[in-house]
Amino acid sequence: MLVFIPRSSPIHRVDARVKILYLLFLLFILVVKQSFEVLIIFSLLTIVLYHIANIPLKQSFEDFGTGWLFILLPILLHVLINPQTGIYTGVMSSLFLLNILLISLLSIYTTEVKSILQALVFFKVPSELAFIVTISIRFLPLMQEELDRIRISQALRGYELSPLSLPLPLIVPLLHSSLRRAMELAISLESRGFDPENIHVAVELELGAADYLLLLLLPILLFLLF
Amino acid sequence: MVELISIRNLHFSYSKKPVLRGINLSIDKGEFVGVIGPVGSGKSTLLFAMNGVIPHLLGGNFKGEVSICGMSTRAYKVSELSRSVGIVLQSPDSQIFSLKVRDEVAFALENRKLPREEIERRVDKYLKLFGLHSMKEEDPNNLSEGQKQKLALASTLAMEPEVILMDEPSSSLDFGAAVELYAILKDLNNAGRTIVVVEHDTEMLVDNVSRVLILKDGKIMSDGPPKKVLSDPRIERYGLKIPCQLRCSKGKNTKTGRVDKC
Repeated sequence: MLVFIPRSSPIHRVDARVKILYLLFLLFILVVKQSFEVLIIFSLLTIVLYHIANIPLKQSFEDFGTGWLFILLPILLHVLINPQTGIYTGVMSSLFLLNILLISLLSIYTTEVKSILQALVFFKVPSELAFIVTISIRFLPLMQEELDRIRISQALRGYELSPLSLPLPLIVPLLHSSLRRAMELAISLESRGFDPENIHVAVELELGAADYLLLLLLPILLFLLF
Repeated sequence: MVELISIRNLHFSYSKKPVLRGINLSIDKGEFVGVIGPVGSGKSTLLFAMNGVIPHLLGGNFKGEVSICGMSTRAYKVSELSRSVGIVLQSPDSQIFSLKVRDEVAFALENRKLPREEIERRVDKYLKLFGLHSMKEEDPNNLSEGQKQKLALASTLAMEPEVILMDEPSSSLDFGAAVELYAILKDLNNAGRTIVVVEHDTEMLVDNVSRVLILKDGKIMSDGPPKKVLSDPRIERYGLKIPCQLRCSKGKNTKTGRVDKC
């Protein structure tokens, strides 16, 4: 399930705001320092972070199911375009995407949605946008379940997923049920006093000693790397 | 009697086809009203008109006047009306969005900016009322359908609204859970809450509600005490079933006291 996984790991204990800063920092390095060595080091770092968080790496592969095949798409495209050097560039692009997804998923697995919302509001992300992000994170697993149900029911009627055609028998019912769910959620939220024009989010996060240490470390890392 | 819900000449249509056609209705404080009718008769639409979802969130052609606790639903936003009226939708999965049971109940109270101590007091009170207190730190996704329905109700009740609206609360529950839910609703009604419940199961209404409305093609066809309305053979023409309890009492042999036909 693509949701917060409660554990008592050091990564879970890190404040959501610090985690967001480090996520941005890591993504920034990935984008700026595009080399094979950096990607390999980054991949190793990701494995270590999953280990520290006490979350098996296979969790993210299970959660994304066949969606991970899209990560391999750049290899195929690069090989088709440039058969000589394509494999190298393709692997680089795939590793890049893989790391972005793994590190982003880790932040979702180790942070409560409520803390993500508060952290986004703290960073002055408009409340409406912050609320949309957190609601999306909350409903991703439900959409995943819904997609599984639709896939099974269409398969029972003889539908086979083809890579050459648009999977409309999956997309249309999923879109329909998502829109219905969104409408019902909007009704339920507003009926419980939620006013989209006046969202009130109290930031109750508190920085601990380790968080301050990590915050101090961040500019040093930036200085060392650039 | 204090009138809490007043509907005058309400017409509504989502597109061209009218859904509600000239509804006039008055519901007093302390009433427990059951609304039944065939699929597409406008039951849920009527409920949505009572808390301002229509016309504010669901667009359409709206004519007439609806007021709740003296507030016109046209003039006030849904979030403002929520101080007086709470709604529980048919599917709890569409309304529960928090990752902890306690956060779901606290959500409406945080929107009202209540003090933290008052929020904690009400969360504990309503979770205890529904037997969910021991699960307050759990993910609502791990609850059974019946527990989710109770959580959705607890989340609405924690706002302590004057009027509670419910859309088919027993549709995803087994018989035992539905009976339990109605027992809680009856207790709340006895404590003075006004309740309007849309229901497809006529048998749930007989012994629980104080008044039944039958809706067909957007019009109120019948309105009165449950035993009188639901024992009328004409309800079968509307695609509804005379509840077994009433059929049985009709088939009771007055001499022997035995039920001949049920």
